[in-house]
Amino acid sequence: MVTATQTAISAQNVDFYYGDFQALKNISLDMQARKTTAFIGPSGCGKSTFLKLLNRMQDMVPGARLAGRILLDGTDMYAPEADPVAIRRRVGMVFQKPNPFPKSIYDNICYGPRLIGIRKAADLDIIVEKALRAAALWDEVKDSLDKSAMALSGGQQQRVCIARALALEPEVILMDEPTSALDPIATSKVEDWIQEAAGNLTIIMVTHNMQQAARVSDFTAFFFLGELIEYGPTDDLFTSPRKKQTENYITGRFG
Amino acid sequence: MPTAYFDKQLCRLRESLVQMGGAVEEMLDMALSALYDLDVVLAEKTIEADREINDFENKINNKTILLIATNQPVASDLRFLAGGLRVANDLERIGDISANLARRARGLARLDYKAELPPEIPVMADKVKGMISGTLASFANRNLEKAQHILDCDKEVDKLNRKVRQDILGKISQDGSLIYWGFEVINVAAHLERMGDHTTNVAEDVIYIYSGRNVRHTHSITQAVEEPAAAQALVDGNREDREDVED
Repeated sequence: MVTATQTAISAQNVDFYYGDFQALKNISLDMQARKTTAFIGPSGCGKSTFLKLLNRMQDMVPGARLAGRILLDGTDMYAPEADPVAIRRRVGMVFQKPNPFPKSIYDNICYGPRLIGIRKAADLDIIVEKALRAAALWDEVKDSLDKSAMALSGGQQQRVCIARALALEPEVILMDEPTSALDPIATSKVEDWIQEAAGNLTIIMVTHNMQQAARVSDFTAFFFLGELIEYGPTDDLFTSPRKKQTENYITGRFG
Repeated sequence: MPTAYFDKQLCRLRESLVQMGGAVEEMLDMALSALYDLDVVLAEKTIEADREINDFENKINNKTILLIATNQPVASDLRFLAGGLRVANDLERIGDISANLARRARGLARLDYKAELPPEIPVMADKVKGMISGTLASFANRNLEKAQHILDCDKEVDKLNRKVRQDILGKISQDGSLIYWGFEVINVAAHLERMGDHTTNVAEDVIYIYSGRNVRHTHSITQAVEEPAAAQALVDGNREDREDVED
């Protein structure tokens, strides 16, 4: 669990390279525990690259190289002894496109818990209900848990993915443009979930929808050309940004 | 995402606000001429002119709401639109008070027994006019320094208002037949003082719009001034002349 420190993940002087290309330049950023942080910026600015570093999703990318430190609750997640599987259990992820497994809703949620050895039906039942309730999906699917997750609507599928991530009780959830493939109603359901979860869970999200960042996040970080330009409380950043580049980007007068 | 069309609309809105400010300045000039010359015809014309100001406010409000609804502005765009709504509202109030000044002119013209206007009244009026034109210029030219200067001017207007009130009360206590005249003149000074307050609000909005700094209620001029109890009783309820505002 996140302890007394208010920082869930701390990035310190992070440089990141894909081969010769430097995708991130000296990023230092403390992401607050039990708050929602949004990353914004134009395509190619490094925000998704940075997000994926936060649960070691870039480990297998050929030629990728990281300098600097990323601390999860004070411990370096890139230290030689750190276990990526254990880190991903603590830092869950939800992707842009809903990607439920071609299995029942129930089996989707149980996938992670079963992997770590939970077998008893009674225990799994509790986990499934808790995760689906937390993802604000329980009332909609409680009578059809054995139905294929693929048969659900896009918004429901995305909440299945959220529930699947929550089933392992992570401290942090990373979301990479979680609503860009959803219609407005499904989007508002996911946003509702983010707002409901705030205060209990650390959420870090990448979004291209600036109004979404403004609506649901507590803190916003603006990335541009691999650099962190501005980071601060969302309310301040969207009313009185400190940097001209931020102002130009969020008002749509970029370049 | 803002478009070239949105930028053009913002430009037009800025022009409308400046035009509205110009119309308010004209209206105040008419009201003051009516007051100095005790010209009842001009006073009536001034009261009529308030309609034009109200129309300006309605149009600006409607346009602003539409732009907010359709463009979801942020940062400087949002500050301009939100601040612009308040600017229009304060300008409209200055228009109302100009109409009230015209009513005072009409009232004074009809009195049989009256004295000369205190010399402080034209001084106050000139200061207020200077504040209004300075504020409108600071809005049109994004001049923060000028806007900041307006905030300081308001203190002088407040001081003159207190002086007029005390002098008039002194005059009335010596010559009771001046009571109706004195009542109108005290209100004239109070109207000008209120205009100064609304102009200060506009200057504060200009600072907010262009810098993001909120100086409302932090500036000492917005704090209440100690009033002599007797004068307070006389002026209370008449300060804004809400009862004869024709909205």
